[in-house]
Amino acid sequence: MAKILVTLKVHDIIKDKINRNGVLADGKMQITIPEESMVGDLIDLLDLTDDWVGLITVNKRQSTPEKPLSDGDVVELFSPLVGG
Amino acid sequence: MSKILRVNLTENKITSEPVPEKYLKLGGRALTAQVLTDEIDPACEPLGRHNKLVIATGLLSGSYLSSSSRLSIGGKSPLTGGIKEANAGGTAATALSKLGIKMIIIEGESKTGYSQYLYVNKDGAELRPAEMAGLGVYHSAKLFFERYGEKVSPILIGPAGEKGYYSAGITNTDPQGRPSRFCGRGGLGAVMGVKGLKAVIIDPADAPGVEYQDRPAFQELNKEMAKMLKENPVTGEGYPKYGTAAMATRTNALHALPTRNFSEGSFEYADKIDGEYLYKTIKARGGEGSTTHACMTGCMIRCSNVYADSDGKEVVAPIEYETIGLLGANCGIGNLDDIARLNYLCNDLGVDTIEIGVAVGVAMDQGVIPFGDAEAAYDLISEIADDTIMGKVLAQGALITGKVLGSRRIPVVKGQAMAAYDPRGIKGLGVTYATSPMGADHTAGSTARAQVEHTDPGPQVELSKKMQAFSMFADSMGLCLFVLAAFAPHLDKLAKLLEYYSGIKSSEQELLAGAAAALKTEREFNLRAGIGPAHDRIPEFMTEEPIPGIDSVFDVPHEELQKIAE
Ligand code: SF4
Repeated sequence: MAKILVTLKVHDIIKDKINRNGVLADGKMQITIPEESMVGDLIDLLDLTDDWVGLITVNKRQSTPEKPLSDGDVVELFSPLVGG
Repeated sequence: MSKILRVNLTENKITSEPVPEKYLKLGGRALTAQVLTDEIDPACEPLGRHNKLVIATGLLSGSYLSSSSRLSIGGKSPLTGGIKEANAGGTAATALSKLGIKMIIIEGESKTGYSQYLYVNKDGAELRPAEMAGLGVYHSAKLFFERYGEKVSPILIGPAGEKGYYSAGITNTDPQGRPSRFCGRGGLGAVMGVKGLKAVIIDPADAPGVEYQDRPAFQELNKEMAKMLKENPVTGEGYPKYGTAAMATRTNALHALPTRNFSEGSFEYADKIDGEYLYKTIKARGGEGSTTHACMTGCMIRCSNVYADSDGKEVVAPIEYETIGLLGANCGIGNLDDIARLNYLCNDLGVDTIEIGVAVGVAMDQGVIPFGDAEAAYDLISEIADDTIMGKVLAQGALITGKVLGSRRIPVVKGQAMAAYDPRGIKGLGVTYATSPMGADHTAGSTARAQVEHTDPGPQVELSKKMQAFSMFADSMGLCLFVLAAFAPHLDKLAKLLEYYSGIKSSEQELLAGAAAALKTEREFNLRAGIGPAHDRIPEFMTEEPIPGIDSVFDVPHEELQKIAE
């Protein structure tokens, strides 16, 4: 199956959690995934449950787990916050 | 809680009253709304003698439940001309609960010709001359602690409130005595100031303490609640480590971080003012700084912080997202040290950092000082203390500043400045700003967390309506909104806690229905004050000027907005 390369950026507690699992150090990484993968597949790959992901952007636009990914996409994941 | 303290400043008279039956099941914001409705003419002059200030505790105030003792203050707002409630953490609500005081109603207007403060302890209350009149809140609080000991909780205003400026808030102290927990919004500090009242000192020494209807049952369920807070990633890890400042990365990503007077929604220095940067800075500097801090005793989340300078010396505590967004990005200022100094200055003057951040942004937009110039911003805000004309204008808030300076880009609703969420990037918050009886106020119903497309106008009215009821619910219980990240699916358990605490039997549905009823009370007050659906509007420039990056304007139709009240 053909593969695509996407960039993943994660922030604050998601970054911390992934670092605990030893996956990435600076919150940013390139991932090769099968073509036709969706954002949700990436989230599963990172072992993040619903509690953890509150906001997703793809190429700086808000997105959803159902969004199909294309080569070169930049996906950002943020944990939910109630307010500031 | 057994009593109401009524302070009539005109007659210099203080009375203690039993709590009438109709107020027993009301707390916090809902209580202030009902009392104001019952006792003042909504058409009254906000800074006149007929307005009242209601200082209220929430229904769970003083209990063991984490983050459950916020202080609510209500009155008619000089900024919006409508009903207002502002609440804050800190220690005062717990102290009031220990004394068995459900609320203090302050009415009339002092005729003494000098500033006074109210001292409240287990034996009663007394008005005393305030020699600290004119002093900033930090110095004033210090004097009160020197006089009455470190265990008292001063509720106080700064010079801005004493002068009746519309941007003035009312603060109270954190467990270490910092007077930085502001009931900031709506200009309630001015209402207190024009009454000639500098402070209310709550001294809980030898107080009877709170009573539980069923303490063991409360403690048992409370353990479960504590576990939820600990295990939830947001309340257990996110807020304690990164605080509210973490919101900056999210609003920046959604193009909703107000930048240069709401002309952009993302800021080139966002990563220098966000939660991660704040955490790293405080941690690296050590000294008096702390990456986590509880604004009230018993808060397990500890979202607050102590910000220290490069020598490790405390500058201000806390730095919060709203201040970062509005005195920072909105003024083009991308440096936490600058924001911390501005924050301290605003606190000391006793002004709301949201209102002043927006007012300074408007002044920058009109060319008074350049965007990004933190020194000039500091000097400009300092003019409030110096009583210059520009200082007076700024201190009256964003709307008056904008009008005087000829701006047509004034980000306010019902006369009150928007919080640090651009309504074109997060439209649900735009709906809340437009329709809340509170004016533009994010705490009245934040939709930022919801899993919706934030630029789609479709779902926002329903969402905002739900969040406005949720906020009213939390504000009436005395609960910090942040616990809702873990507790939102368990309102039934909160109802149980309330029963074990005070004997009030209710269900989740009843509590939410009570919140909806309180919102209706507020709307009716506003209608009688002359504020109706015609005022439920986002400023025109936000419906026409797209926010760069997402090409979005605020486009929830006005007719849709009216469904909030249905
Ligand atoms: S979570 Fe933050 S704001 Fe809420 S009670 Fe705790 S320290 Fe105060």
